[in-house]
Amino acid sequence: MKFKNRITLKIKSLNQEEFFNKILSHKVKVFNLKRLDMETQFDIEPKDLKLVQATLKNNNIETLSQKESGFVAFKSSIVSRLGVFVALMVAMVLFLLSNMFVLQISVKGCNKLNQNAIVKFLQDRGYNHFSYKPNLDCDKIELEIMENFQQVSLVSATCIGASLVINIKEKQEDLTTQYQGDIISTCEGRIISMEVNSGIAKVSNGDLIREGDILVEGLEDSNGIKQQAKANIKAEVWIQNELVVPLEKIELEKTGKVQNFRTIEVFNKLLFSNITDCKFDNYLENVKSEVKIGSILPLKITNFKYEEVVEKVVSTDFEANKEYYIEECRQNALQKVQNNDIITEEKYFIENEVSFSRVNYLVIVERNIIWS
Amino acid sequence: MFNYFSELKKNFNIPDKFFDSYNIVNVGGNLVYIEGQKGLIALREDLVSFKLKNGVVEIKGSGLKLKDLTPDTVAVQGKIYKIEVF
Repeated sequence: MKFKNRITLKIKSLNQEEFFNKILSHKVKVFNLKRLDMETQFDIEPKDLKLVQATLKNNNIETLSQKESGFVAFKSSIVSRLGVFVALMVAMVLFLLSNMFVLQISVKGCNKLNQNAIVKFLQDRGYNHFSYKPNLDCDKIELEIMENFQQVSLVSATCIGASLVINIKEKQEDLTTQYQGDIISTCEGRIISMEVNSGIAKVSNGDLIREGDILVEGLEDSNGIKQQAKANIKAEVWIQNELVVPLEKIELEKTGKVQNFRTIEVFNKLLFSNITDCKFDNYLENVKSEVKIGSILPLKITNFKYEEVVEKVVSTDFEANKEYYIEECRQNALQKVQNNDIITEEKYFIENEVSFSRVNYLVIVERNIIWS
Repeated sequence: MFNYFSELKKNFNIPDKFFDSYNIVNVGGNLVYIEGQKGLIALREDLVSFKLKNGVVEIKGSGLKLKDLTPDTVAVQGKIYKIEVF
């Protein structure tokens, strides 16, 4: 089967015979020439296209359409999509490149330990975004974290995709204290009555006690190990809550004016920045940074948002809202009252100063503390 | 294009001068092959005419189209009613 390269032209004109004779004199071959009224359609070889177009122009003949078929059509469709192919190749190369670098550091398993502290620790040692993956020594990272964070019991560092994932297991809290065996006060108050079954009483009826005071000390056995003290203690416990109400406070009110800046980094190099001095005297700053993973280029985009604020002095009418503040203070104090406590007295004190007022609410309860 | 006339010349010993001006072959009334055309005179759906060395050829029919047109040959396809040489 012959694979024919043809260009199909459709022209419109009156005196077309002269045109065809002209192109024939230049050794142009014409195929499938069909005439319908004033329109004629014919095929030519691609190599003759320029000559035919020039002759058409010279003869003022209108070209209605031009179509390609065969390899010529295939080649022009590829050329017209060349940009797409080039972009695909570039995207593939950049994707491969981006997988050779760490784009995200992820820390998991932290409860009491601060995640950001571990990330900052790693960054200070050169393990940050855009670190070259083959150069990462995960064993060394694990060792360094174990040596520098005492709360860490186990750690594992591994590269998953473009992320450096650190898994942490924290140490359990040490529950043994130097006060094992003793009965310790957990509140402030006064001893009403005390019956010691085992141990040495360190306080007596009527004594004032504070949080952390040893009430009954445990006895040591023959091996020198302290035994748990046992006693029934009844105490008057003072639960208080304090609320300070400033009479004037400064609030920041947003004016609505905002200034936004942005920086774009790729592989730790600054690509774009439009940061200038902030034109506001007083402002709230909001900085947000994100690394776009999975895009063609691994970009770190940081957005800076400055919102203008003005200081506004707001006065508080304490006397008008006094009942509200007293009730709030009371509720806060009552939260510390335990289930079996018996409330014997409630009172409050108000102090009025120049710039603030203070509400002090005291709840006195009778509490039974039984260690048996 | 095949050279039918070269084959004729060879097989029947026809002198060259017979093939100097023009040659017309009508194939089944659906295709006319002309060798020796010197230019297009008229081109319509029902009439195609060409200059020859010593005259003019007119082909009348319907649905005529020039299948192949080169500087000195042409193949006209369509329903051929009449071929006249003047």
